[in-house]
Amino acid sequence: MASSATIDSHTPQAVGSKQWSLGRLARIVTMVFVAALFIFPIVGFVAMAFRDADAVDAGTGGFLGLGGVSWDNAVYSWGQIMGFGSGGGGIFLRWMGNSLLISVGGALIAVVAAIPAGYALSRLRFRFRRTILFATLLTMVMPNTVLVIPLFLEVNAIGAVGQLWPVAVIMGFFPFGVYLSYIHFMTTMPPELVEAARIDGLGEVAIFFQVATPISRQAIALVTFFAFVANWTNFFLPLALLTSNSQNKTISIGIQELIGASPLFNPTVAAGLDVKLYMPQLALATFISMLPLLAVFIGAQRFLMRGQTVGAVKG
Amino acid sequence: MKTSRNRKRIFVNGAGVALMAVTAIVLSACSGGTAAPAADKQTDSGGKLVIWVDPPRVPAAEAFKKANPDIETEVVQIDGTVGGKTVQQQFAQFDAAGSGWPDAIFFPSNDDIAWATGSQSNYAADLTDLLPDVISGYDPAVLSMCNIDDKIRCLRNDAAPDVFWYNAKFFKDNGYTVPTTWEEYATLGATIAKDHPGKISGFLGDAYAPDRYLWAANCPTNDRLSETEAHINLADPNCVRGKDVINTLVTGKAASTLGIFDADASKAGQDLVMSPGALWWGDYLFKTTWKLPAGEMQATAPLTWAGESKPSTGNEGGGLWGMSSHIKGKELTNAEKFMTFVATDPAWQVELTTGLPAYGPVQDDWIAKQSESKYFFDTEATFAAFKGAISDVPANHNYMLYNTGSVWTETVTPALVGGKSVDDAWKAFGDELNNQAKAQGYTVVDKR
Amino acid sequence: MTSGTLVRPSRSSGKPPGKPTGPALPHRRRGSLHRVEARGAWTLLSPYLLLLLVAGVIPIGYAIYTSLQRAATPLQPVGGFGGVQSFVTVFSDYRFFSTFANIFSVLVIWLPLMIIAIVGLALLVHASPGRFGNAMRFIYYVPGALAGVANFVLWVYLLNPAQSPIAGFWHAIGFDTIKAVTANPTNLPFILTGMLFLQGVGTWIVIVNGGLNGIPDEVLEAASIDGANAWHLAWHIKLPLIRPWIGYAALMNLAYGFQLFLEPYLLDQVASGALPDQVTPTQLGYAFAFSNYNFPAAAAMSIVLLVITLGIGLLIVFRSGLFGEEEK
Repeated sequence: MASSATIDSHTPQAVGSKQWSLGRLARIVTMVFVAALFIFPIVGFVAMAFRDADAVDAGTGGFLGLGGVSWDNAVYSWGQIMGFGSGGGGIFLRWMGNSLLISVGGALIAVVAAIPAGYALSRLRFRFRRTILFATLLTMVMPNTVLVIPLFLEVNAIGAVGQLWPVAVIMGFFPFGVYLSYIHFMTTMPPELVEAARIDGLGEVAIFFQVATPISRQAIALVTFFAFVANWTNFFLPLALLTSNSQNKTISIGIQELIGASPLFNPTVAAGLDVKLYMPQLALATFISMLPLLAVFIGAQRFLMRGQTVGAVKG
Repeated sequence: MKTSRNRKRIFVNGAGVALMAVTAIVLSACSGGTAAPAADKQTDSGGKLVIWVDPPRVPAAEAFKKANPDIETEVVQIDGTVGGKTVQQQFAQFDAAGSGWPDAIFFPSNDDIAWATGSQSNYAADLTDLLPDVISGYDPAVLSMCNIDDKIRCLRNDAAPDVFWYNAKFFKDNGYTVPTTWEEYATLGATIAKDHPGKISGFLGDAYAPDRYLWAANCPTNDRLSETEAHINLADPNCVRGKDVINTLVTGKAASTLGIFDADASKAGQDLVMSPGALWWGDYLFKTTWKLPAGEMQATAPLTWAGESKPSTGNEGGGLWGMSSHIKGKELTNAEKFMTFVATDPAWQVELTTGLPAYGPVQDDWIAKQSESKYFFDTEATFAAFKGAISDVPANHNYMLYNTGSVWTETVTPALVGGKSVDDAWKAFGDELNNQAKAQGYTVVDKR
Repeated sequence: MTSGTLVRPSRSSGKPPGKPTGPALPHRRRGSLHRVEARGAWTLLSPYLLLLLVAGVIPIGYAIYTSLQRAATPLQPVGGFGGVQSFVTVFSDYRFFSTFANIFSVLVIWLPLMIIAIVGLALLVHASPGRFGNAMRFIYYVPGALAGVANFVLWVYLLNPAQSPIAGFWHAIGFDTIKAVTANPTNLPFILTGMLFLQGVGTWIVIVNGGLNGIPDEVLEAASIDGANAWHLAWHIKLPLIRPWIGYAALMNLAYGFQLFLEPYLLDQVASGALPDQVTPTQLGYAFAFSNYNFPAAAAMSIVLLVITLGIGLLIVFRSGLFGEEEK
């Protein structure tokens, strides 16, 4: 049964007619309306990063504050952010770099661990299969506030508190990714495929690399993307393991420090500081911390399109 | 049929996981232990120091580094959020692991001294015999919150007693006399609000409000009898007099329900005619944040309660330095040098710090430097009031494991903002204060 | 074939088959095949299992162990076995029930809204071809890039009637200051719903949409040839096929909602401390651990949360077929 639904060069047709039916109109209107609801606050927030603190206070700037936007404001705010930190400032860039290191490292480890695990759990039969699934589920729903202490003790036992690499390794434990991979293989890889490969004489691990991996591009993209996002925004793990080393902190706990030094939220602390972190500065710092996530999303988009899963049933 | 299979699955899975859990428990029981009190052993790093400071105190540590290039010092900047739990979490981890504490720390919240001197952490070293010369330079009232069970466990960075602020220009123009007692202040506030609607005489919405009114009244909310006993009694006559002052202000529409740090406070602050308030209100709030016109505001000596002869006032803030009790030898000597420096050295306390030094001998130099700005109505009188107020702060007030200010902002502030009466707010405050104290392990008693 | 001869898993392809396969194998042969399969499975699982042990099983085991201990207190400095004492501490704390009440009030409003929005928008995105669908999906995701502490600045902006783009709305319902908005306890579930919704919906749309993308086009084309319109397609074809994904979304969001910590913690900062410090059970657990030095109670609280989440979670798992259909 030859499949005609392989990767098309042009976009696949929407199911249904191409004319402007009521259904199509309703769909587009709904989606655009919701999109506007989402984008509206974001635009105002990003505009805030380009405004002046006094203007924000006075409430000038028109609709969403877009009237008060200027590049000079952003440059000034950036100067304030970069002035933060001991030893002359500049700790913000260091935070971004650290976050990048552990997010990428953790995502790589997560993919290497999760994709084979998901495949094995979904398509191979062995004892304890369900036990492992259950244990994975358990670790996903366990509140992590109390796990902080044993994790700290583990890392302390190897003398690596304050280092970045244990954080990346622990972040490589990504049960969410295992489930993503598991559900992906369960829904898109028929067992007949595995059987066919076995008949051809392939060993289990070979089957994984030669048969499962090529059709799991989307799963790999999803797991990489979500692992990266989860690592980038993870607050508790860096808080527990990296706080004692001011050079190794990540952006997620760094933003909390900026808030903690802001006259708006911790005035008695901010009183003695040279840098003044008001809303525009905080908004700019937060906006910059968002950008890598958006970049990774755009990069992953190409793998998240329809038709990317090559027809699994070959002729 | 599906359900019975499911039940069987759950049982098998549960058994499997239970097996894993038991294995893990056995493993961890062999390696770890219970959360025992911190190790009493002390270590010597050979001289290297690790200092934890919040952003505004980084210059202090840097100044120490500059003055002592022979001592290897690592300055770690920490999150300065007041009321944040980050430091406490970090120290709990260090206690569990038995290592990792900094040699000296500027506590981001003053309450931190409560757990740092508790027997489960015992981080803050007893400085009574280690730094006697430094300690003798402090007015006892300023160090009273560091005095835990007759041992001095911390050093005060800056003094922050409440003085009595008033708008001298407004008072002169309208012919009002400055009150000398708390009761006069309350009734005058109501009168001014009646004659000039909109003028306010106090802020009630921030976490320092109970310090301002209740600590000043010597009302027992933070009276530490021992590590496990607290004296809290809101029906005490001292507390009632504080409540009456607040009630008069609220019913007279003379008090703002905002907090002094709220974003909208600057608008309300333009209409402030008088209030008890910390000495740092002058520079930080009036001049820098609210941008009140120069030459108007003035501080004078704190108020006295009816029937008493000495003024009695609260204290808002004023940071604390602590030293590790887990060190010895060269490291200890260097840490002592650090503590002495940040508490007494003019390079920090006169040149760089924005608060009145708590250490007596350098106060005049600081005042001389700050007086150059000429912002107040009568600069000399204002600064004299600063110095004088230090000894007017009642001593029976310690930082506890619960935070009275947080309880206030969680109970009184929403109640007043929502229009409830002071009595309702007061009851909510009292109930929550008792609950929190008990939840922290204190036995609450009515009398000393 | 006896069970002694096993076909070793080999990495080179093209090896002649050792024995025939088929559905009607004798039991012993199936056993040996399964052994081969099992060994392959363990090999593939080994990196993950190592991580599961280090970052999952051991910490959870430690937590369970700790919950059965008795906390060291100033009156009784040595800990020891405490049995269910820590659980009693947790249940009898004056904040215990109110934290759960808070969680329920948030979940009841947020969770249905979330699932409906996720599934609905994912279906809409899937039905929208090419750049338009991708653009919409990207826009839905953008607020999710502000996860965690970064959310804080956005919400200070949104909740402050003086600066917010929806200032008109705030003034209309009678709030003039940010403190009035945030200190009011009845607003809390709605604000939290807003925070969780905006932050999470985009991510889950991507996931469920990914699941929809996995549906082979033949299935959809066949249905449309049979005369299904877009609505019929969505309701009768796509929806049943992504049941596991919906179950997964419901489960994970339920777990996240039960274990809410960061959002009330941020909101408390926004409100200048006007919110109680322990709004949610996890915050209470955190307070047990780091304010009261009562790690056993914190562990007990975590286990209580775990059991509840797991209980409801397993229900969702089995109803949505998340654990796979019946094994062959």
